[in-house]
Amino acid sequence: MTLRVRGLTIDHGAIRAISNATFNIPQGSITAVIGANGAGKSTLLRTISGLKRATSGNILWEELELHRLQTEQIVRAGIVHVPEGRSVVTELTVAENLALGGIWRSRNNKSDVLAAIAEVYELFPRLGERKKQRADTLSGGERQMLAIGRGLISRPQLLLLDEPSLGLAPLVVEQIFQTLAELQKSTGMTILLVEQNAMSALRIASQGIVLDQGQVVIADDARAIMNDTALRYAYLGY
Amino acid sequence: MLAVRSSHKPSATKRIILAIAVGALLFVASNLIDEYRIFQGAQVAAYLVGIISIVLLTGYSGQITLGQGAFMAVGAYSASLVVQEFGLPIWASFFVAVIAAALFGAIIGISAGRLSGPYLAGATLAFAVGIPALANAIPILGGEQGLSFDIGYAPGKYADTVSPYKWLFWICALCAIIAIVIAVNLTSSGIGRQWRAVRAHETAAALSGINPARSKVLAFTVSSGFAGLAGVSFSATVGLVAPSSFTLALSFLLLTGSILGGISHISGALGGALIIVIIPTIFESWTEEASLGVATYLPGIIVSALLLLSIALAPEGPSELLHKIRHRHRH
Amino acid sequence: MNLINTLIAGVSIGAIYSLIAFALILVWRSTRVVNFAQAGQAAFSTYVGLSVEKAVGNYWLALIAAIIAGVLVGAFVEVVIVRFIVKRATSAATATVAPVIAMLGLLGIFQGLMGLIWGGDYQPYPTAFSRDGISIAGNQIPFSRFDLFVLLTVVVAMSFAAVIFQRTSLGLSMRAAAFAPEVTRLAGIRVSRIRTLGWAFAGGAGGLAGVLVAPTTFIAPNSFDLLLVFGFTAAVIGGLDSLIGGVLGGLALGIGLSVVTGYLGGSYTFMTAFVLLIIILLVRPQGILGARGARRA
Ligand SMILES: Nc1ncnc2c1ncn2[C@@H]1O[C@H](COP(=O)(O)OP(=O)(O)OP(=O)(O)O)[C@@H](O)[C@H]1O
Ligand SMILES: [Mg+2]
Repeated sequence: MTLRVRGLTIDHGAIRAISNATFNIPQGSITAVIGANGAGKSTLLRTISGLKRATSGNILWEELELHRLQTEQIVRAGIVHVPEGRSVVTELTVAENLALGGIWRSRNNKSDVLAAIAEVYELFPRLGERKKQRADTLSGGERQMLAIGRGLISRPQLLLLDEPSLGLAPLVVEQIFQTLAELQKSTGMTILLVEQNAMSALRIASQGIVLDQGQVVIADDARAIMNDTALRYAYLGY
Repeated sequence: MLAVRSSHKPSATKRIILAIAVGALLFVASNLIDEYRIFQGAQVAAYLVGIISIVLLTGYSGQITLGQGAFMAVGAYSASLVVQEFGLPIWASFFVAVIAAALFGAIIGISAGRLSGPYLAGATLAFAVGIPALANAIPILGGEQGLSFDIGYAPGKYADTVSPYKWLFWICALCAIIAIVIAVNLTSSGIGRQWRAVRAHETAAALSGINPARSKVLAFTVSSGFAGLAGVSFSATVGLVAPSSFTLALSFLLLTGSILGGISHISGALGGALIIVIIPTIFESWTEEASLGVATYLPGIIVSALLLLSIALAPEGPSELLHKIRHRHRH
Repeated sequence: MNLINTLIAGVSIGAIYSLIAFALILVWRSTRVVNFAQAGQAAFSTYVGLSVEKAVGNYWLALIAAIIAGVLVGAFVEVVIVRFIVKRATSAATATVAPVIAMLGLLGIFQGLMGLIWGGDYQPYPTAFSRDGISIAGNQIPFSRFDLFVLLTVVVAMSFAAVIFQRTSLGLSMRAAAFAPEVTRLAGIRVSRIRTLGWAFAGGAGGLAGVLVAPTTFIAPNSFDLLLVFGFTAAVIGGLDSLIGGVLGGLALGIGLSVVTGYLGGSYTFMTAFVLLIIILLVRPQGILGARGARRA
C-alpha cells in the first residue's frame, strides 16, 4: 500500500499552505517531513486524514481517493492521524481514551482490540500503571504516549504523526523515537513523521521530505539529506 | 436611514434636515391613506424603535438579547404609572419611559456585560418571561388587566379634524424619526466605533484603550432607553399596558424583524418593522371558519421560516445577500 | 405547612426540570447550541401522545408514542436544520448569536405548526394515577401517587441514561465527541451520527418531560416556555457541560422553588428562579457542580 500525493494544493482562505505537492510514501517506510514553522506540515497531515479539504490535487491510497472521503472512512481504510499537541480526550481516563480508538472495529474484532490495548500497555508501561487516571492528570510525555497509543489501537497501516516530540525532554524524545522505529519494524506499518527535530527524525527515517513555504523542495533518501550540508544549511538552518 | 448607506458621511445637521423632510413627507402621506393603514403605520413606527434597540445592542455591541420586550414593559409601565399616579402629561411620560428603561438597562447591563453567547441569551430569555409575570403579581400595576394608557386626542382645535389614529400615527412616527436620528448619529460616532471594536475583538479593543465592560454596559443602557420608548409607543397603539402585551412572542417578533431587516445596520430597522407588520395582514381576509386557524398560525410559521432561512443564507441581513449576489456576478 | 412537606412537594417538579436540563445539556455538549426549540419539541411530542391517548385510550401507549415522537423530532431537527445552520452561520458579526436565533426560529415554526394541527387552546392531559396527596398515618402530604410515578419514571430514565453513558461504547463515543470532536473523529467514530443520536435522546427526554408535566400545566403550543426557562436554569446550576450536574440542578431548583413558594407565595416563584440564575451566572459561571468550563466565549 503506497500513498501517492499528486499536485496537492491546500489553502486556508487566502493563505496557500501547500502548493502543488507531489510525492510517494512507499509501504513499510518511515518518512520524515521537515520544515520551518508554518511550512505547511500540519496542514498536509490534516488534509491526508480528511480533517481539511484540498483545493486541488489527489491523494491516493492504492486505488482509494482519500481526498473524497470523510475522516472516519479514512481511519477505516487504515490511515490513522495523531495530531499536533498530545491530542487526547482530557475528560476521559487512560483506559477510555484507548478504548475509543477501538470502538469502530470492536464489533467484528473485539478480541483484536483487546490484544491491541494490551500491546500498548506493554509498549508504554507508564500508561498501564495509570489506567483509571483521567488524561488531564497525565504528564506531557504520558499524554503523548497515550495519543500515539490511541492511534495504534486502530491497527494503522499508515500512521501520521505530527510532532510527537513537541515540548518533551530530549530523553523522552529519544525513547519515543526508538519505540516508533521498533514498532515499525515489528508491524511493518508505514509512518509519516512530521518533525521540527529534524536530525532525530531523519535518523530513524528511510526517506525525507523537506517543505519550504508550502513547496516540496526535496524528497530524497534520509541519509542523503542528513549528509548534504549545503541543503541542510539552506532549509534546516544549520 | 438613507443617510447611513451613502459612502460620504453626512453631518448631524444634514441628517436632521433629512429627518424633517421625511417627517413632512409622512405627514402629507398620512392624509392620503385610509385609517386602518394609518394605524398599521403607527405599529410599524413602534416596532421600528424596538428593532433599533436590538440592532444597537446585538448588531453593534454584539450582545444578544431575547428579552427586549421586558425593557419595553419597564418603559411602558413607568409611563403609565406617572400619568395615573402623579398626573404627569402624556408627553412627559415618554421621557419618563426612556429614562426608567435606561436606568433599568444599566443595572441589568452591569451583570449581563459579563455574560456572552448562550448564557446571555438564557438570562435575557428568563427576563422576558419574568418581567410580565412579575408585573402581573404587583397590585399597583393592575394585574392581568394592566393599566390604561390613552394618548387622547390632538390638542385644541385639531381635536375634531385630526382622527385619533392619525394623532397616534404622528406621535409614533415622531418618536421613530427622533430615535433614528439619535441612533444614526450615535453609531457613526466614536461610541458606535467602540461598540463594534469590542464586538469584533474584545481583547484587541481593550489593548487599544477601550474599556470593554463599560462599553457593553453603555450599549445596554442606551438600547434599553430605546426599548423604553418603543414600549410606550407600543402601548399607545394598544391603549393599554398589560402583561399580555409584553410576551416572549413580542421579544421574538422584534428579534425576527431585526434579523430579517439586517441586524448590522440601523437602516435595516424599517424593512424589518414593515415585514413583521405586513406578513400577518396578508392573511387578514381569511376569516371563514375553515381558514381561521391557518390565518392565525401561518404568519408566525412564515416569519419563523424566514428567520431560519435568513440566518442560514445571510446572517447579516438582506443587504449582505445582495452584496454576495452582486459579487458573484462580477467574477 | 411544615418544611418537610414543602421539600417533598418540590421533588417531582424538580425531577421534570432535571429531564429538561438533561436534554439541553446533551444538545449543548454535542453541538454547542442551547436548544431553545426544546420547549416546542417537547410540546409537539406531548401533543402526539395526547392524540394517541384520544385514539386508543391507553396512557402507556401514549407515553411511549410521545417519547418516540420526541426522538424522531430531535433527530429530524439535527439532520435537516441544525447541521445546515451550524455549518453556514460562521459570519463574524452574528456567529455567536446565529445558532440561538435559529433555534428561536425553529421554536416559532413548531408553535405555529402545533397551532395549525391542534389549535391554540389549553387542553388537559390525563394521568395514570391519582393526583390527591397520599395519606400517611392520617395526615395528607403534598405528594400524590402521580408525583411518585413522575419521580420513579425520571429515576429509571436517568439510570438508563447513566448506564448508556458509563458502560457502553456508544456512551463513551458520546462523551468523547462532546469534549473533543476532532480527536473522536480521528479515532474512527462517526461524530455526526453521534451528534444526531444526542439530539434524538434529548428529544426523547423532552417528550417524556412533556407528558409528565402536562397534567399540571395543561398542553398548548407555548405552555412549556416556562418549563424551558426553569430547565435552562437547572442546567446552568449544574454547569452546562455536566449531565449529572444538570439533573441535580433540576432537583435543587424544584425543591428550592417549592420552599420559596410555600413561605412567600406563588408570585415569587419565577422571580426567585430568575435571581438565582443571574447570581449563579455571575458568581459561579462554571455551575455549582461543574468543574470548569469557559462561560465567556
Ligand atoms: N486554520 C487556519 N486558518 C488560517 N491559516 C492557517 C490555519 N492553519 C494553518 N494556517 C496557516 O497555514 C500555514 C501552514 O500552517 P501549518 O500549521 O500547516 O504549519 P506547520 O508546518 O505545521 O508549522 P509548525 O511547525 O509551527 O507546526 C501557516 O502560514 C499558518 O498560519
Ligand atoms: Mg504544525
